[in-house]
Amino acid sequence: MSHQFRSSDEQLEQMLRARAAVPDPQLLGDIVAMTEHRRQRRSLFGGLVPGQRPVLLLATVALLLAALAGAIAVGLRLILPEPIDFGDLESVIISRDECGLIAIDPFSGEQLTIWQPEDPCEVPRRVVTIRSGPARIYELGIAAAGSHDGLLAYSVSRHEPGQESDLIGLWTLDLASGRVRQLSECQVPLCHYTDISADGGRILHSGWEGTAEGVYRLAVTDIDGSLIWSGDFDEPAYEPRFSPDAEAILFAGYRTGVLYAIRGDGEVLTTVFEQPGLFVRSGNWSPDGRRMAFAAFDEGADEFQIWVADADGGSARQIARREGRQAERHGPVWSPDGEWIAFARRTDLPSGGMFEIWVVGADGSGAVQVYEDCCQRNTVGSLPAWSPDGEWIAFGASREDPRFSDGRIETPGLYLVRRDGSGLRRVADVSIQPFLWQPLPPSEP
Amino acid sequence: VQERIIPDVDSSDLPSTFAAAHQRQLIERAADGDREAFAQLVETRLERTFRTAAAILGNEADARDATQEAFLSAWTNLPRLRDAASFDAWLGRVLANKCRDLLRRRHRSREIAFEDLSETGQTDAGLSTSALNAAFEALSVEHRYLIVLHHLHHEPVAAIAERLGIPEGTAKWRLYQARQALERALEVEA
Repeated sequence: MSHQFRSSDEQLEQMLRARAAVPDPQLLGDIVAMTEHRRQRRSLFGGLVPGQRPVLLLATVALLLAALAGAIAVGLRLILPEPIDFGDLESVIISRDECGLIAIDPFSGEQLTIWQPEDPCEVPRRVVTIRSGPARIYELGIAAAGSHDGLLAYSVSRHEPGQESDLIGLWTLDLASGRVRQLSECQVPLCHYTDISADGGRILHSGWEGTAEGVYRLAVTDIDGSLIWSGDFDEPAYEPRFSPDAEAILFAGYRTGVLYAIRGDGEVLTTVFEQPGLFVRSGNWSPDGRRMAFAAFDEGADEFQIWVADADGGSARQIARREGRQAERHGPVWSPDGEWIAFARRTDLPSGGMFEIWVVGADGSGAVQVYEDCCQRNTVGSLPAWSPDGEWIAFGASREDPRFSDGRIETPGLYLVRRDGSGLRRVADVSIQPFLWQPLPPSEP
Repeated sequence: VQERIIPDVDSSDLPSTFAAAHQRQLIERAADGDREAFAQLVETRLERTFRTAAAILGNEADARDATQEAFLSAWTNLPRLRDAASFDAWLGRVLANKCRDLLRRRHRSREIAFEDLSETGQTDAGLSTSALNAAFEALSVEHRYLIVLHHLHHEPVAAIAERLGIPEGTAKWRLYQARQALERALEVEA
C-alpha cells in the first residue's frame, strides 16, 4: 500500500483544469442547439417527450421492458452448483465486498467468496456488475439459530445507467448446502432493510413505498416470498428486527425516536418506550426474547445512552452512557448467552472524531472499553458482532494514519478483541461493512 | 403541458431555500414535458457538466457528445426520477455512465487530446504532466469522477457522500482509493 502521493493536490488540480478548460461559449451554444435538435428528432420519431405517451409507444415500451426484465432475470440467476467448502471451520464471519458475499475465517483472515452474480465482478470496481449496470448488496439479515441455522438473507440493489438505484430482490443462501434462492421480489418498492426470523421461516422487508417522502412500509413474507402481512407508517422504521420467536418486530421511529413493537401478524402496534428528549435508535431483542436493549441519545444532556427493558418495555433502565450523540447505528448487540451487551460509538467531538467499542453487563455492571480510536479527524467503524461462544467481538475499523498529517486513513480492516479487551488483533483487510459471525452447521457425514 | 403559476426567475438571486424550491419546481415541470423548464435546468448546469465530462474524457469532442447524451437521457428519463431533490446526483451518474460508454466504444483510454498539454510539460514539482494525464487516463471512470468532483470542483467529502448516497466515511475511503489508484498508475508510467 502506497502511503505517500507523488502528485500533490495542486498538480492534480492543474492537470484537471487543463483537461477541463472553460469551453468557448459558442461550443456551449452548439451543445444546446444539438441537444435540442436531437430531442426534437426523438419527439418526432418516438414521441419520447415526457407527458406524451401514445398507446403504440406504451405497448412498444412495455414489450421492451418485459424483454429487459427477462434479460435481467436471466442475468441475475445465481449458480452455486456445489456446497460451500468451509473445511474444519466452526464459524465464519460473513460480510460483503465489491464482488458479492464473502466468508472470512475469523482467526486466519482467509476469505472466500460465497455468492456473486452470474456476471463476474470487474475488479477493482467497488460495485458488482450485473449486465446493464453495477449493483451492490444493500443489506444483510441472518438466521441466528433454529432448525434452519446458517440461512442468510440479503437484498441486492442495482444502479441502472441514468436511473435511481432499485432493489432487485431478496435472496437466501443456505450455508450448509450452498443452495441459493431468489424470493419472488421485495414487497416494498424501495427496500431498505431485511431481516430473517431465527427459524428461517419468515422474511421482513421494510422501506419506502414509492418516494422517500411517502409512507414507510413493513412487510412480512414466508420464505417463498408470499405475503403474510404488511403495514404502512408515516415515518421510517429504524432497523426493524424480529423477536427470536418471530412473533414480534421491534423498531424505532426515525423521526420521533419512539420505540415500537408490532405483534399479532401486524395487528397490534404498541409503544414500548417513549421519553421526552430521548431519541431511541437501534433496538435489539435479547437471545431469549425476554428483554430488549436499545440505544438512545439525549439531546439536552448531549449523551449517548444504552438502555435495557423487559420485552414489553417495562422496568426500563439506563445501563451505560457516554458524552456526545451517536453518529451512526452501532448497536447494542447482545452476547449469545444474554449476559453481555456490546455497543460501538462513533461521534464527532470538538477534540476530534472518536470510535470506541464497549462491553457492559446486561445489568449495567462491569463496563469495559475494548477498543478506542480517539481524537482523530477521520474515524470510522462498524457494528460489533459476537462470536458464537461469546468470547470474541469482531468489528470493522479504520483510523487516521498517524504517519500523515493530512487526515489520510489507513486501510480499513476486520478486528477481533476478547470480551475483556485483551487479544486485540487485526484479522484482514476488508472494507467496513456489516459483519455477521455465523456458526456453521455440522457438515454432512 | 399543464400550466403552472411559477415565475421564471434566476434562482441565483433567490435565498437558498427558495432557490431549492424553484429548482424542484423546474424539475417537476420538466418531468411533465415542459421544454422551457428543462432548458433552464440545462442552462445552469451546462458548463459544469461539460467541464466534468472533459476532465474525465480528456477530449473535447467526446465531452461534447457525453454532455449531449447525458442531457438527452435526462430529458427522456426524467419522469422516472422519483425525488427531484436528487436530480443533480442523478444527472452526475448519468454523465458518468455516458463517459464510460464513450470510453468503451472508442477505446481512447490513453489518448491525450488537448493541445496545451505538452508531452514534456512539467508541474511545479517536476512531475511530467503527460505522465499525470496518462495515469489519470488509466483510471476507471468511477475513480476519475470522484477525483474530478473533489479536486476540480472542490466538492467536500460530505457533499460527495450526499451526491453518491453513501456514508461520509465511505466517500472518503473511495476518494482515497481513487487517489491511490492514480499513484499506482503513476508508478507504472514512471
